[in-house]
Amino acid sequence: MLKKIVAYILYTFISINMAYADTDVLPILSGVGGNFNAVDSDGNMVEFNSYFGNVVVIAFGYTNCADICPFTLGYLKKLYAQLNEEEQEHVKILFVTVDPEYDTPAHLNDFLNYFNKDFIGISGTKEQTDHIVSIYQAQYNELSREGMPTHNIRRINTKLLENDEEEKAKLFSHSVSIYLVDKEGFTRSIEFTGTPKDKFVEKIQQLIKE
Amino acid sequence: MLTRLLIMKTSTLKYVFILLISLVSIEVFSENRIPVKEHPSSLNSMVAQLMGWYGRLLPAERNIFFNQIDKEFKDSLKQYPHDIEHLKIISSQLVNSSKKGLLQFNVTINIKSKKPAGSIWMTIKEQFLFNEKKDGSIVLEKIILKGKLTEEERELSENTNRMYFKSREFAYSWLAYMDGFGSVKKTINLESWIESSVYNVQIGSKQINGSVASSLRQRSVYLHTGQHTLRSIDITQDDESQNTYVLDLTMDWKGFNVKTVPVIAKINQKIKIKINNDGTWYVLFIEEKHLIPDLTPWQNLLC
Repeated sequence: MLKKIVAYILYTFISINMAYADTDVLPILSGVGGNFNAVDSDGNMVEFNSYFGNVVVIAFGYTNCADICPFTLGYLKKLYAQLNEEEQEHVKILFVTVDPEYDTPAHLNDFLNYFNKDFIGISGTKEQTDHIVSIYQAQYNELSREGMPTHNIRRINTKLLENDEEEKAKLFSHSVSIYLVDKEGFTRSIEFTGTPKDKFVEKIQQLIKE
Repeated sequence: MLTRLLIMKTSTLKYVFILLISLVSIEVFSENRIPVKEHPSSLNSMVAQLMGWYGRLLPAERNIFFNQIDKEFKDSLKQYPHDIEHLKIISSQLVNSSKKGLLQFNVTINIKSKKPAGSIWMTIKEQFLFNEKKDGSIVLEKIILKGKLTEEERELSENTNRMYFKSREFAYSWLAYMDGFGSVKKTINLESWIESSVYNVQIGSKQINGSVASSLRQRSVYLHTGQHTLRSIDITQDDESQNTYVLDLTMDWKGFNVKTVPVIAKINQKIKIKINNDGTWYVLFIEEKHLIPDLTPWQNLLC
């Protein structure tokens, strides 16, 4: 009996020991992120807290972005591919548009499908967008008051229009950071496309295991 | 007990031995995971005392008073020149004292004092020895003036009057209190406003509203064990009233939340203060916002 008790205590302490041995716990970045309401690229109303239980990767951008957005999504596509199927089930990649006026859920969905069908577009009203941007302490600015003809913009995909009117869209500057959020909604790391993918994947895997 | 151990089988004793080894290694790993600070939470309290010390050397103006000091140190104050017009801390360094159990601050100050023949400048080096008591309070044990250097004229870069030091005495004491260091309550007149004044905290989308006492309790779920480090301080007079000021503090925080997950924060607090007729400070309200911690060069990059 004594042997069993000692063995049990030993097992318990070794487990604790192994947990404590993990010295690379990602810190919570207090004040970065939180709950929000928006519309996803399937047109459903979503609350960020509904993603609890998943590791979430969040990037900001817009579909008419000719610079960093396609590059960021290409990066996230490769990153996501490095995760195995089981890991992918616990990871949500969110792309939050800073141009909700132009980026309707359907258009956002078409755009993201070029990269990965699992990626989720986040749109909503301007107030909802501003709220998401503010809680992640990200930034975006309109570069032009007037829209410019979209045929002049180098784009991933054109918007499907019901009429032949010349379409115009605004250009924006926006944060390039990629936020890594844990299963309880706490931001644990801020990365960018310069982060080596292996390193980023390790962080995601670490949060999945928590 | 010894007899029982002796009659145990050898194999059982092996388990006990392994168990002891495990316990020792847990201790080692625990220390690795949660860095033990050499001077936990006492730094802010010590700096607050230094600010009060220097503030009281400056000429009395209005009703700005500092925390009381023990009688034995009043003689030390007499060693400074009279009629100090200007005082600036040039450097300060916390070092391990050669005296066991004492913490030592080495400080160099520049002072300008008025003499009949005109103002003179001095550089003074001194040591403050603090004793950390078992209850966590920090007590100034000794001050040693290490000699006055040659007189030397310096340029005035900022006006370091009594208010300059008072706002810092208050700020460092408040930070020490938030670190769980209760012995500074009197310095900031805490009892008079902790239950009545409003303290709003914004942590991302989380909003905490309530009295200072209540908000501190709720906030401690997210910032449980750790230390505030002051990064910037500014005090401006409120437009509405002569006796009202806004103290703007930006600080870093490192520590652990209630679930012992490490947390990093950069915090801005705007503290509205009313100076009572007796010179004590009364906090009217505190607005706190958690900013994005300064971690990466790309976090503010736009494209």
